[in-house]
Amino acid sequence: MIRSTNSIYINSIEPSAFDYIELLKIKVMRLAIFTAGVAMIIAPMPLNPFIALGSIVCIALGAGASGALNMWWDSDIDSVMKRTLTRPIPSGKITSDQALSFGIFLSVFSVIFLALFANFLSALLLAVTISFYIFIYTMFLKRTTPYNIVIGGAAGAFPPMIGWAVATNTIGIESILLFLLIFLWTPPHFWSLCLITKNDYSATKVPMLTETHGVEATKLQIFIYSIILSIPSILISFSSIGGLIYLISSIFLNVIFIFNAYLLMINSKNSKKYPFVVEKRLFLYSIFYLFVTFLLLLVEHFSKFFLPSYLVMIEDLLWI
Amino acid sequence: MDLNKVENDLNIKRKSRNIWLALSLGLFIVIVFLVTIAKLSDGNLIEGFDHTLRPSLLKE
Repeated sequence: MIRSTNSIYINSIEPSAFDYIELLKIKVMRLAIFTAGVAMIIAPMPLNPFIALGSIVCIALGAGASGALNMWWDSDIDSVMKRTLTRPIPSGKITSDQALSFGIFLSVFSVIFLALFANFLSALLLAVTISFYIFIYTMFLKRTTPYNIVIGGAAGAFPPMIGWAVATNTIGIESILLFLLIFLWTPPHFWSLCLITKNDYSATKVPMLTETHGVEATKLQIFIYSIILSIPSILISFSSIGGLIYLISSIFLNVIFIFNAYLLMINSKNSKKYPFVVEKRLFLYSIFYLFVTFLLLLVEHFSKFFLPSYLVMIEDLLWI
Repeated sequence: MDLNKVENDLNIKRKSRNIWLALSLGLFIVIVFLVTIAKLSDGNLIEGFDHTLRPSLLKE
């Protein structure tokens, strides 16, 4: 008894380093690091590895700052939902004020240092990303419209554009396509998660599509978005970062994505033994899809160095 | 509530946090140093504009 009272008392006044790290939403941060890193590598301008490292750290901290500020604003929702109940603020490990000051500090720090390490364009894009995620998505869209995740998905789509800007100091058509890829990937990815955690959202006042329009409408939207998603995904093949390897693999990936979304749409039964099995499959596949798509861009980039020159020539000829 | 134990636990938590902070700052100093070296290796970029035309400002 004494031990549990002690630990609650200590947690509330003295957060540990791990509590602060938890505020950064490491899973979201990983996605930002990976997509921005790939964009830096595949960009046509060579980038000094140390500048790339410094920039990646800034982008990661910026993404983490967004997570901390999001947790600060949404602590009331987090304390109701089972999935988010153990986050640092609702569990009493960190106070709202500590999360707010940590988030603001990291935001300012990451933007200033990205400007110093790389260039002003990438720092501006990082500032826009953090502001969009906090002011537009978290504070406004999330609690007002069921399409919150559609527009809010833009925040998660910016990192490859920032990575591209770090390397080239421009916003090219390639970075816009990468932006669109993640932007259109977010709704089916997040809605499939919402279908699994539907009961969680019904306890809050967040107007998720599953609550306002129902499960069937959400499944239809997922299917529509999975089709639209294939457009930028395949268009990338015809840009300077794409190629034959990417095109063939991308077609396969998109067909499987659409097929999984179709299976979800026509599935009306929920097995009691294996609940949400189709939803979970689509959710996990969406993660795999994005990871492999970016991995393929890397493969395409490095294939130019490793493939025999005649194969590269054939690929170039096919692309003219 | 055992006050001695609370104080001891608080100190452990503080120490752990301070170590993490020191490591983060150390890592950041290393990154700043490496970026500085990388930037200095391209000297033209660090020459400020002093309202005088000089050859390095002209594009080849």
